[in-house]
Amino acid sequence: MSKPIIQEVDSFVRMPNAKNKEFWNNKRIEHLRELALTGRSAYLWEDHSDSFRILDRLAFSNIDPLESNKNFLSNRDDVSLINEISSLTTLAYGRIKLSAPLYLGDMSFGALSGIPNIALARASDATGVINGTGEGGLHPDVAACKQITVQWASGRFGVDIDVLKTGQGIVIKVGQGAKPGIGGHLPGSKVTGPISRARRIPVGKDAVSPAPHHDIYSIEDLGQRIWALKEATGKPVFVKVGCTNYVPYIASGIASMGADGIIIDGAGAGTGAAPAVVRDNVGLPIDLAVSWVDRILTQQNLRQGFSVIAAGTVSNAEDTAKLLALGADCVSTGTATLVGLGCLMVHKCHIGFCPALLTNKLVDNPTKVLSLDKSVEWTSNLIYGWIEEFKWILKELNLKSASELVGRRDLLRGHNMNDETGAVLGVKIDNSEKTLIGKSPSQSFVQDDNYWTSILQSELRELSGSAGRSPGEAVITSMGSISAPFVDTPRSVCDWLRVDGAQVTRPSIDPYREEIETCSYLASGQIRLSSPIFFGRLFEKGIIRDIFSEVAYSLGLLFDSQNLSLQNNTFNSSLIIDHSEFINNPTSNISSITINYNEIDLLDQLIETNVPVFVRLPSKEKIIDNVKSLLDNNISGFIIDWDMNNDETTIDLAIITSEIDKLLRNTQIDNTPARSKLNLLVEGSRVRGAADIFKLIGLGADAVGISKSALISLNYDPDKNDKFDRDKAHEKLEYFILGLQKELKLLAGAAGISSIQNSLTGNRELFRSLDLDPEIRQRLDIKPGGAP
Amino acid sequence: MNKFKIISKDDCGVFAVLRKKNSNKIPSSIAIDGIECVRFRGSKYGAGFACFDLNNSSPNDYYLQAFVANKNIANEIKNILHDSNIIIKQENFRNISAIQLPLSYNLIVSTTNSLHFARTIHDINNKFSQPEYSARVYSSGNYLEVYKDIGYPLDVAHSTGLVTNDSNTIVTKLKNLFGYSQKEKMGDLWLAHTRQPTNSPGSSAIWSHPFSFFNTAIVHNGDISSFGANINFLNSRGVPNLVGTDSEVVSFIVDYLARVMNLSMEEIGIILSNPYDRFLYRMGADKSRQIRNLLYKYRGSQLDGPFTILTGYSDGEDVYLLSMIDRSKFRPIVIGEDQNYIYMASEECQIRSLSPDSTIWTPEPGKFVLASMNRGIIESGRTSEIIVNSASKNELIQIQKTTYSSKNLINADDLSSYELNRQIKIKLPDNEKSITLINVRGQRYLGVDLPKGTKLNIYGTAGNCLANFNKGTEICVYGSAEDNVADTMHEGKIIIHGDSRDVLGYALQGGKIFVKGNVGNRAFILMREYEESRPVVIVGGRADDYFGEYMAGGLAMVLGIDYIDSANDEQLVGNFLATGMLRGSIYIRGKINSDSIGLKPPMEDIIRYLEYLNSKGIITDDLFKKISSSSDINLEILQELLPENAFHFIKKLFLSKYSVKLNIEYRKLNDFDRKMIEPHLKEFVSCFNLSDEIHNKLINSHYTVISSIDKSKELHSPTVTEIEE
Repeated sequence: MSKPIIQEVDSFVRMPNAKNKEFWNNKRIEHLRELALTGRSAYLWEDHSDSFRILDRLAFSNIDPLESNKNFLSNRDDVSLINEISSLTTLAYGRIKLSAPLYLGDMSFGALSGIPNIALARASDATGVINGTGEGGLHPDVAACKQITVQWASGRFGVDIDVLKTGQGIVIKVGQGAKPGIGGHLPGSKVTGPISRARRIPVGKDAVSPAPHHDIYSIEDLGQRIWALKEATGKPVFVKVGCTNYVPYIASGIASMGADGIIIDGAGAGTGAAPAVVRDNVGLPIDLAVSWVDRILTQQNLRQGFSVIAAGTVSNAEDTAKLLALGADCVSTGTATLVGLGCLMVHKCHIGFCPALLTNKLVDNPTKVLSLDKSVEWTSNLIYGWIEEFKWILKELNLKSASELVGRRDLLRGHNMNDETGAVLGVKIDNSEKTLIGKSPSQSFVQDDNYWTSILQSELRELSGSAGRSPGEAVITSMGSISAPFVDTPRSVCDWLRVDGAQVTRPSIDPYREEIETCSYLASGQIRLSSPIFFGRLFEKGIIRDIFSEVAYSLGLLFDSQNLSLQNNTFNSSLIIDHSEFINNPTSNISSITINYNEIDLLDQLIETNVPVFVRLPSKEKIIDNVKSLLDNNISGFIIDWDMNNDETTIDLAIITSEIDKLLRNTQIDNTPARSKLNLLVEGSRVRGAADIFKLIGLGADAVGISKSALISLNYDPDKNDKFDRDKAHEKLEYFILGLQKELKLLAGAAGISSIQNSLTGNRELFRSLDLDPEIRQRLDIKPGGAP
Repeated sequence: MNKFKIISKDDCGVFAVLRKKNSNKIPSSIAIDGIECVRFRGSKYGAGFACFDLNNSSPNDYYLQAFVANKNIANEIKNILHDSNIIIKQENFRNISAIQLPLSYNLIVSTTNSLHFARTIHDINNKFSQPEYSARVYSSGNYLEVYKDIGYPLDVAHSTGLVTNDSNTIVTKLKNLFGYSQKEKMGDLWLAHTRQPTNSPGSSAIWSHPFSFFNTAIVHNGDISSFGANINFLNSRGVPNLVGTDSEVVSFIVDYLARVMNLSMEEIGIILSNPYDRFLYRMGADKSRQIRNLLYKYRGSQLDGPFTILTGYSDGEDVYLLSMIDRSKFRPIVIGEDQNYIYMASEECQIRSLSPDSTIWTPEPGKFVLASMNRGIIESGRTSEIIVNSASKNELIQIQKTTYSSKNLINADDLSSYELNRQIKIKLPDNEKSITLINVRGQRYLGVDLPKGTKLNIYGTAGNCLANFNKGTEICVYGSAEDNVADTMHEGKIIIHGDSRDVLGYALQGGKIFVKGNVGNRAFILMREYEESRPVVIVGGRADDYFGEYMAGGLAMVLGIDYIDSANDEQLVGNFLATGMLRGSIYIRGKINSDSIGLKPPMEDIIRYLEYLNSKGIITDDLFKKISSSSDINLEILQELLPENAFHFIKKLFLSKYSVKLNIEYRKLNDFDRKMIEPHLKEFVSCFNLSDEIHNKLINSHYTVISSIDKSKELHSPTVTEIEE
């Protein structure tokens, strides 16, 4: 048999123009490519003036970036100037020695296609940094390298006692920044021969890594795992976690349990595949976490010798220096090394056809592969160039070694951020203009046409099956997040809120195999919703309303209908109808009635009918007083309608939801809090999808109404109403709701809650804000991210 | 208030012991021994005890205990009490070890107005909480006193005056339960706790457990994810000023429900442990409505996330001990009962070391266990009869008494896990392949890195992480093994004569595991096979939830030998059996309800969709009635009964691209099965000296057989033609 011709790729593909605003923009990518091609430093300070990332809004106070770059360029060729400067780093109480504070992060054989795995490991050996090999066993050529760590993850793929004893240390992977609280699922189609051998699983069979480690549900369990591994191997043990609400305490727990270091992976980090709703809403960015981790460990006398490794959007030597100054010992970078191997940031790793051949499906006899020699060269060059830049930065800071920089928050200044964020970072705020420094995203109202981004619209269509091939499934994506508020512009208050990921102190829950209850009971248990979702009022008329009422019935939801011809009697039980319709045509089997707050003189008449009544209010400041005056009536609750009387006095639904929830909790009726009797339904055409629903419930809503997003998911065009396929639309709308339900379960599972109504409603502890205007943050009663 | 309070996340060891009506009062040394046994679960950052004693108090007298910064603060508290017309009958001070609030101010006070007293306590706590704590009331009951501080349990017992120096030797010797000093504190119920804080202020005892308010005290192990919702619940019901731990929140909720709302302990058990809605459905319309109304009424008080909570409560008539565990049973709990006492503990070794012959069981996930001094066990936490390997237990005691003759013997008594593992390595010379450990009491990591071919005999209770990463060691446990046995084992053999607790055989990839007794939650999850390496596991008793979750190969059997002559169809496994199973074969003796297999959408959602299909005329009224009246609706039944288009519509509720369809049959073993199973079953039977009669009965029983549907690649699942029988 003739050997197939293998084409070796040994050059980069030119970067296409990005469709959306990217964190990994061409500027960052071109910089890394230059390092990879030359092995030399390029420049020290990048222009981040268009970035919202908090790290990009930090600057070293005694450095003028433009001057410093200029100075560097004129001296760059005289390497003797940095000969005296040391980038040496030690980890794990001195047991691991590195040439620089650089860890090439944890990408598995399987997520990457083999050649990149070998390249990272060999380049680490060549340059003296270290490579985390990820879950999924070791490629034999990787196992032959010295500067590696092996990973112990929830699927236990490819590990046995011998593999665990290979390398410098063991990484217990509890979570990752791109998807804290979410497990992994390698589809059978990707389990090809080479993967099968490394993971010790049959070809073609799915490989599932559960969301939690089922032996680690608590800090003492983690301690037990750390010591079991140490007892068996004698190796240093690191714990990798996603960056979540309690990360300073988690770090302290990990240190006191006897681990040798923590790898904290922040939001925005890359991933081979993740549910978009999780990637874009769960977890905190690394920059907010490092400072308090360092401070708490120091306070508790746990810092000395224990390693703090910071990961997630680490893109260059400048980021490295800032994260060290914030308190890390070392940084971990995954995406940057892929960029150095030609990654084009197309966000399609999960499909298996990578244009740069980095994450494509692994087969026994490929026809086109990356050149291994070239890959090792690129990665080694990238590291050499990175280290050189890092040393120049140390020189600019008048420091002699990397370790002198660790924890020097005094050298940093925060720009374009609020004082609370400065306090979380432990840096002083400087509001003067600084060149090349990132901006704070504006908090102004976003017009409708800019509100529904193309990414959002296509995700909604994927849920319903109008696009894509997995109707009713959570939307999957890959690589780092480009969402608000650190990359994209925030469009509503919800965009500033991040969801907690459960890890270490409690397990996350896998919604595909374990129970997460989405059902919600309203009106003292009279109404059951299968999910805390209802259809809000539609502006559109005609057949589309019938479809909504049918799906509300078939899936056990409600439809806040208006002027609907009540034909099919059965479906009435899923309708909330307007009081005027009810008075004209009293039917007994509707779910509930809604009445506008300014028409409540009719309330007594309605309440006599024993049908639950919800009072409808606009999302406005002044309605708080109306709510107070209504509490003595025998109503079932309120509907806050974002669209009602919409004008310039309308404010974000999130704020009003939270304030009314708090008001109801703090007001007593007959010696019980009003909230225990009254439901809070909120709706609006601007409610986008599962993340908004989840956050609004967390701020106190019992159920959230959607309307426009459902229409977008159906590709509904009112002008083509006559060509509308009613059956297909019905089917799609059902899939859309089931998809939202799955996404809600993913978010709940990631946060470690198994019952949405009982555990999420009003549970603000599960959320953190990111550099949100402190006044709004206090109205929401949400803590700032990163603070302990 | 804009200052961020510290939130403390705890993980810990817990212990409780309750006396039965006609037994003597319980001395403090039992509580101390029970918790010191799992000292390794905690840390120096805090421990504590609560002692309930009914005889010792009148309903108007309260033990009021507060940590205070100094005597001036205590004086201020005294003044507040005076101003509130609360009479001080006794007072004293005790120095404790904590750096912050180093003084415990202990009073006996008297008042007839308990509501007013509660408000006064809140006022005191409020007044002395800003800018930082200068005082904190930590105990205020009629019938209980709390002893808590910084340090390990024994340190705390000393610093709080529970034991004196001369009784030190008694409590450190775990075995020696005789001859307690009469000076010891005696009680009807003891709770004990050793704390492993994730966040460790470590300088103040206010974060130590138990947390107590009025006649409720709790000790907790876990992390409540519903914390924020629970705080809302309390705040809106007038309970302010929490110190910021999820554990404290629970003590206030229990007190509120019991004392203020007058709910029974049974009702509190249901509300807090928050049963799955799907299980309520199974109870029938009336019962489920009743419970749902209860849950709805107190919504916000339900607990979520991992927890084991031991609650003590007294109403002045009786003393209750309530244990609650989360519905996924993420935290360990073991219940024990002997002639005199009822025990609840994190680990079996705690109970065994105090009462070697006690009956020991674990509750089902999400089930509470309730006992009282006057009534004994009220709720056992199991729907099935508790059969706890009584035969093997007696046998074990015999074996323990007679078989200590091996020359390679290590007495594990008083050795830490680390020391015991070092001793094993020292005692295992190159040519020696066998070693015997006696008096093992929960020591961990045994057999994690022994040379291939080694044989390890363990007498006692093998602690967590036994035989992890095993690659060819044979281990025989004469007793029970605790959590996480044989994680990532590739080769070798594990024989357990007693029970094995949760997460047994996680990612087991080869070798054999035989358990004579029961196994806990999530046994054999992610177990898998690769090429010739195919694990075989046989459980002689029963198993809890999530048996074989994510299973991707191998053979797993549950035999329920104790039920072999039972006429009823005993459910030998819990819920969510084989959820996410990808490959391999599971044989469970008896007929398992399909409702317990895998994860289905809630029944209400299925019925509702059927109603929709019916109302659209897609299915007939008769068909709708036929299906919806069935107690066991599953995808297979729907496929069989529904017209094609109706099935097409409804199946979207069940299927996802991540779900794998399982092949589920109930039948006798066929030739194919027998060929595969019989050699292993024979080995199992001879391993535990079971009779031929049992072997024959097992071979001739009916089994629920679960395998993945992918027949072409599945070597071991029978094809249709083979299922003639």
